[in-house]
Amino acid sequence: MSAIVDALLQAGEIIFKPDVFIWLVLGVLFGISVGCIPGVGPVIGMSAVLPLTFFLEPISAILFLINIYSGAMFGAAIAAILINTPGAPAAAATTFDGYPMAKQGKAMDALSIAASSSALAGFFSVVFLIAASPLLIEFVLLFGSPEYFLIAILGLSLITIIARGPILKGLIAGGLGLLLTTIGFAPIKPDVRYTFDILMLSDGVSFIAALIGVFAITEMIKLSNKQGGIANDAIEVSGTVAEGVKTVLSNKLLILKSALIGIGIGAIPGAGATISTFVSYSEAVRSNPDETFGDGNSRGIVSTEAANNATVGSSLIPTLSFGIPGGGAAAVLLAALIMHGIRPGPDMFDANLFITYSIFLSLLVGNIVIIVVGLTLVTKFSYITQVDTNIIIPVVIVLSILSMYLIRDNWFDMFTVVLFGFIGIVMLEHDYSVIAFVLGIILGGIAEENLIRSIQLSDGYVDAFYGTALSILLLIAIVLVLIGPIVAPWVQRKVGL
Amino acid sequence: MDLFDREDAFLIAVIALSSYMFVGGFDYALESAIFPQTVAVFLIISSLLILFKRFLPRPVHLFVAKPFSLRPDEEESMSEGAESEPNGGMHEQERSVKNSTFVAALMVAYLVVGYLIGFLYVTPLFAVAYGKWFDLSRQIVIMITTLTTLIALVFILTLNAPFDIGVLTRGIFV
Repeated sequence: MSAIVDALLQAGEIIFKPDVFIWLVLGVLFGISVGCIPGVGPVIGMSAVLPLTFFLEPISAILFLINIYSGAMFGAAIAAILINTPGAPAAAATTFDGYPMAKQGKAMDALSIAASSSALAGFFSVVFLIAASPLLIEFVLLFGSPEYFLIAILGLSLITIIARGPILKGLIAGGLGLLLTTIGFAPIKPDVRYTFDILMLSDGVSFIAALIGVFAITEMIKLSNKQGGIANDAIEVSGTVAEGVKTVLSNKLLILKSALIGIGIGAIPGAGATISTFVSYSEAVRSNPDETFGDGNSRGIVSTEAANNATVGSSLIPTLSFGIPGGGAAAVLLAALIMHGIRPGPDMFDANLFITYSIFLSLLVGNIVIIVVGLTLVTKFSYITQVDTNIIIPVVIVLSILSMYLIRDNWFDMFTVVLFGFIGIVMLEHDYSVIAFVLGIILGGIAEENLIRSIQLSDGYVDAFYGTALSILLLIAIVLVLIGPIVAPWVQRKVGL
Repeated sequence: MDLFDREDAFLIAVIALSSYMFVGGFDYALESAIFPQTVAVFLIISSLLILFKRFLPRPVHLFVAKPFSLRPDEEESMSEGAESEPNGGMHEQERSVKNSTFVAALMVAYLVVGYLIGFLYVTPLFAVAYGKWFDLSRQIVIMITTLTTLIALVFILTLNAPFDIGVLTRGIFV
């Protein structure tokens, strides 16, 4: 327990250092800005600046990026409420009641509800995580090499059923990502693999290039096909802040419930905030049968915004514990951790516990910034929703390509980022999960290293993978995840459902 | 139905890459080969199943082709876990060459020419070409050109990135 308190105190000291704190605040403000712009969102925003954080101190870089994610969740709500176009998919459900409320002349009420709900739920989520971290530490310490390999496979399998498209396509996408990580130096023996004698490939394919390629470049190519104004019936921002805050404070139970839904679903790899917001909204509708939703009901906004910000914290659980991102934004954060030499796993809850707590505490502080901005400056941010994507697209493309050179002083990475952009487009068109692909690239090194180590530890036999209760459970989970969706309809028919 | 489409080309590329990596794996130590070879075999079999799905028996075909998702019914994209947001006022323009094709080609040209003569000089051209294609107003084109060129300049001045030199111009300016 004293180690936890020490880590918390150390984390508190770190985040309030001026050079760290400024990046935390900038992250929130930048996140709100990119979240406001439909078609951009947190993943693209984080991806575009990821290479630039290479030159920051690791802690500053991580806190900057995680607070972009947090700020963007609120920014997306601004666009959802004012122009009926969510800045990110996670805010799609906010349009159901947010935009109608704005059309009734209560845009400020809706925005202040969104800000307050986001902040309160985000706050609760972080407190929950810090309180649960001792249990989490004990759980993570149970994992050895075989378990790490199995959870990497489980993470990939979960993505394939959560993402759209046939499971086999998801597995191909993930497998392709895994395969590409084998280019370059092998993790155990000193073999240089599959480089075609190209020196620049001996360090392997840059996972950051892959990430930026499929997240930023692909998305910009897609966006270029859609022209015309994004702003849809822009609303004049009127109404009161006080009413919005009062509404939130009178729905504390709803916030708690929505936050718990966000925490639970956010911790599932690949699930992300979108699922949690829809589940939370559906639950709000179900538990208030006498109320009408979809025409400006404040509870609709409370439930969605509380869920999506709570997801931010909990998506960090699989990310920090096992290196399995809870969603696209967590994947970018994971890339940042690796880029700065911080390895996810038991160390994040042992020697590096202060980094983990710095991340959690920064989200607490970030939520305060969100409330301040949300209640005072939101009308200024509303202008950002009108930004033409024709400005965004070339800027993001140039930034993504040029910044790729900076990571490894490698021209090849610039070509790689564009190549992955094209691969991403083809994958999207044909329902191959790009999240599974990115996950494969991120997890490939971890999976291979733990596989080989496990086999070596068991003298060449595979019984290491079913030697403990935990590994057996993981194996069963993998089988259920992959086979379950195929068998379920057959079982339902047999049972007569 | 097309006999051969982009998905088929993608799958054939996956099979080709996997085959190369499987065969190439025999040149390395067992510890270095086992993982790529295992993944390669899986990819070859899976890709063949999808390539020839129309010839598979029905139960296998369902496993291979039937979508399954826990997500709400939205199109997949990258932003936050793979859904694209509804676009209220956006519409697709009709043209002989798709905008996305042009942007992709422009990116390749930007990369190649930039590598040859220096990205600092090609970046404004990229911005102007983009603006011309999308019929943007002069002010927007100037804004894009300024912003993108500024990015290149900042990288050169603050991070010593060699974007003012290309492979062909290295002997001229340095």
